[in-house]
Parts: sequence; C-alpha cells; structure tokens
Amino acid sequence: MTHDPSRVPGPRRTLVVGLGSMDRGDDAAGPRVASLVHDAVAALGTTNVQVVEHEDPTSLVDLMAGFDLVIIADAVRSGAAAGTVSLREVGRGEAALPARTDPGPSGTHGLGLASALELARALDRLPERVVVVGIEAVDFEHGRTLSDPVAAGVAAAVEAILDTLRG
Amino acid sequence: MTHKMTSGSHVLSVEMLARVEGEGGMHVHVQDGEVRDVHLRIFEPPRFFEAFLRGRAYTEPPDITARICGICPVAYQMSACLAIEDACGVAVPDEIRLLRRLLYCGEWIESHALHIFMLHAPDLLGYDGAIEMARDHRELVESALRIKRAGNDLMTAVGGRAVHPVNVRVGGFYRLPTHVELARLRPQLVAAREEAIAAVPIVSGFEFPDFDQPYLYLSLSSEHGYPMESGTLVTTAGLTAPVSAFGEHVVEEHVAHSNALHSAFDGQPYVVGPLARYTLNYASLAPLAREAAEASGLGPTCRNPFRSIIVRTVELIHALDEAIRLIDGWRGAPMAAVPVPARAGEGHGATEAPRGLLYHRYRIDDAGTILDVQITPPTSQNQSAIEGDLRTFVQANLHLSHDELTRQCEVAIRTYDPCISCATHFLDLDVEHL
Repeated sequence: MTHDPSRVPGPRRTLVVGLGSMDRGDDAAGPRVASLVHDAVAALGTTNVQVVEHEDPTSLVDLMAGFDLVIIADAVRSGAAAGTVSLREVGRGEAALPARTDPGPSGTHGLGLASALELARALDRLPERVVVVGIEAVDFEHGRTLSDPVAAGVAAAVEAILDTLRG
Repeated sequence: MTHKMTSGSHVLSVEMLARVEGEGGMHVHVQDGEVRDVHLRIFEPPRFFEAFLRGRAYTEPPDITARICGICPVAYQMSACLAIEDACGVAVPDEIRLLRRLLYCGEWIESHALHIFMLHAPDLLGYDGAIEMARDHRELVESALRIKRAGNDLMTAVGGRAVHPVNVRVGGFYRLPTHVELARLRPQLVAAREEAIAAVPIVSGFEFPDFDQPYLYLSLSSEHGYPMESGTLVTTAGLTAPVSAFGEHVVEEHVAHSNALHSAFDGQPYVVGPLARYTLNYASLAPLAREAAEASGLGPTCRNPFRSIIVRTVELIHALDEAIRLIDGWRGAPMAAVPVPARAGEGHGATEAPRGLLYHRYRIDDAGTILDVQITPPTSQNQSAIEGDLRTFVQANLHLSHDELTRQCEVAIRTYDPCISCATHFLDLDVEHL
C-alpha cells in the first residue's frame, strides 16, 4: 500500500519502505513500522518523505529510483534477542548486507532484500544512502499477529527512523 | 568435494533451496550406485488456509487466499471466485471474464519475467544468481525489469495493487478500470512484447540436457484461447472433463517427509504448468507466440523440463500480446460485479496459475458460511513428478561430483518454478555430505 505523500520541495527526497506480510506473524514488523512512521511524519508536517509498505523486494530496484535517502524496515533473524533493532548502512560505497542475514521476504522466488539491494548496486541504481532497519523477529506463522517483544521492537525502530530523518 | 557418487552411501541434501519460492528442501539417498530414496520437502500453507476459511463468509476467500502466495495472488483469487460462483449457480458476464483474463496476463508477465531472467537464465549461463549475471549481462536484467514492470503496472491498473490485488470480489470487481487507465498501459506492453520476442534467440540458444520424460500432462483447455482464467480439464491421455470432476481423478495423499499432499491423476504422477499447457494448447497460442515457438525450434510439444525457459518465454509473449488485444478490444462493462446471492451448495473452480493448474472447491450453507474447502496448488500436483525426475536425473549422472550433481538437482527443481509457499525469511543453502 502506498500512503499518499503530500510532498513539498525539500533538501533531499526520502523514501521509507516497510517490507513484509501483515499475515505472517513478526513479518508484519516492516509494514507496521511504515504505518507508524507515516503517521508520525504527517503529524510533524514533514512532507518530503514518502512512506510505502511493500511485500516484493525486487520492486525496490524501481521503487528507490530518484531518492537520495532510502530507509527500509524489515524483520530479520540473526540470532539476537527478539525485538532487537539494528541499523545498517548499505548505500553507495557501503558494504553489502551479509548474505546469511538476508532479511525479509523471499516472496519473489528468493530474491530477498539483500539480493534486491545488490541487484540495484550491480545496475548502478543504488541511492546515495540506504539504511536497513532490522527488527529481530521470531515467529513467521501464517495468521499470527506480531509477538510482544517484536511489537516493542517496532516502536524502537520507528524512533530510530525518525532520528535518521531528523539527522 | 570432488569425489564421485558411484560407490558407498551418499546423501545429496539441500536443506533450503535457493531461489525457490518459499522454503523447500531436497534429500536424495544413493547406495552403491543406486538411487534408493528421493524426497522433496515442501512446507505448504494452503492447509492452514483451508482450516482458516471454514466458518468464514463465502465472500472472503478471494482476499484471504490471495495471501497464500506473493507471486500468484491473482490465481488464488480467480480460482476462489470461480468455485464460489459455481456453488451459487452464477456465471459472470463475458466482460468480467475478459477483465479477469487481463488481470491474469499481468500476473503471468510478472511471474514469467522473473523466472525466465532472474532464476532460470543464471542457471543456464553458469551464474550463482541474477546479481552476478547482471554484472556481465546488464541489458538482459534491465530488460527483465522493464517487462516485469509492465506486468506490475497492469496489475495495479486492474487489480488495484501490484502485489496482492484488492480490486477482486466474488461476482467481479469493486471498480472497473477506465479506458484511459488501460490505454495508458499499451505502449509499455508493446515495448515489453518486443523485448520478450528479442529474448527468444537468447533462451533457445542455451544448451539443455537431453531429458525428455513420458509425463502425463494436465491443464485447462478453453474455447476462449490459451487457458488462463477458465476452461475444462484435458490430459495427454485424451481425457476431457469438467473442472467439477477434478476430485474424481486427482487423489491427494499425505506423505511423511512433507507438509504438502502428493497428488496422483488416476493413480499416476502427472505434471501441470507451462509444459503441460503448451503441449495441450499449442494451437491456441497467439500467432506471435506461435511464431516465437517455431523460431525457437520447439515443436508443438515439449517434454524436457530444462527447456521450460523457452516455453515460458513463448507464454510471456502470449500474455503480453493477449493483454494488448484485450485492452484494444475493451468496450467497458455495464457493471463492475454481478450479484452472487448465497445458496447451499458445492462449487469447483480451476484456473492456470503461472506455474500450473490451481483448483479450489468450496461447500457453503444457505447463509453463505463456508463449511468445507479444498485448495490444490500446482506444486503439490507436480511433486511426485519432480521426485521422479530427480531419481532419473541422479541415477543417470552419478559420474558427476557431489557438488556438481547437487547443483544440477537444484537447477532441475527450479525448472518447475515450485511455489512452495510465500516465505518470509531465509533461504540458506546447506549442502551435507555423509
């Protein structure tokens, strides 16, 4: 779902993407973060930020076009405690996401977030700055809602994104 | 590991299959030069959805089942709508069927573009994946993204969204696209069709193993052209039957190594998907698609799964051409949906998902409450045949090293584009050698 952006000219064009499926337990972390960031941004009157929920990482290659800063919120599994929020800089000139920690849906035949970002890099389409905000997740069962620790992580991720936007 | 597999006990084991939709695993046990055991492990979400839908309203399955798969939501919506409308004794007007077909073209374009260029081509060009391939074959990947985008935009115009369309309902659509919205798509679709045609010599120029198999093929066949949104059952054994007879022929069995049910057609393994559709419906292809098939060297049948990349390219051209034809012929519709009042009954629906025939059956009561559901996706229908292929393929290639044979088995599985589930997380390849 794309939240209607009411954009005015700003110093940089920013895109916030929440990746994941609302029906797969903690995988909803990304879209939930996007929804909350959208509301916060609207309340602050910030208008050069577009906020999008998406389930298809491959689309990022096109979606990121024309933005200076892209922030991607997604559920990750790296072995950390559930709800732990991590920020990684993966934009131009930065290192790739480690393959083992490829977060997010492989809903496009396994082209997950790390692969989609690297595809954009290989095609010289990676924006100047890309930040992946990972929310450590545990439960991906169909039909479940966010687990409690991950719901707490969502709130922390929203704060981290708002900090990044202010910076 | 470079040693060969012709003596002793060996296990080819891939715990998670890379670049396969969802989470799947493969296990092949070789003992003294003989393949003893082959398991393809599948985690299958439709079972959850079958239980989840019982007790829900008959209007809900199109939205709920669309969430089974991020790649083929339209297929789930279309089969669900047909089955529920069948239960209620309603047939939608032709305008609505045409619009469903147009939406389905979008899904085929997206799905086939991804599979041909991002999944299968890297295997055939010897790359680990699309990223590595993009460094050397940038234009091929750019072309794939443009074609996929044409599909995305078509899905957005007709379905309301590029992923998980929200505009589909029992009886039709919530909103009809305007002429302007559809006409706007045309130049992009025409350009994508040209790019797909340009890919024919590329995909037909790959080297393919000789691996023709005596499959029993099952697909739909339709008076409305190459089968997508409706049709009747046909097989290469000469059977023709209404979709309501699906359950008389297809028996699903649970096997211990997989969450998925294995299907048999009249007691034997069978195959659904592009190869089956193509072989059973060659004559219904659009002229441009048939020309492409002829130029590629494919005959009117195809029994080698490794050559499925050519068949998908032919189908991609067909879907693009069909979308253009439908847009050019669109005259609007008097209403976006027809009423579908609930009545007690059972209904059947089958459509052609990009990766094969998808069957739904619903039983509802007078109030429209769902009493019973059966969802039979393409991958579980193909599972026995994939395992049979692996058995034959491994037996014939035991001279290869463990690693190379494992890689080629993965390639073989990916040719089916198995839609194992819409996974949420890691596909971590872990090769084990005992």
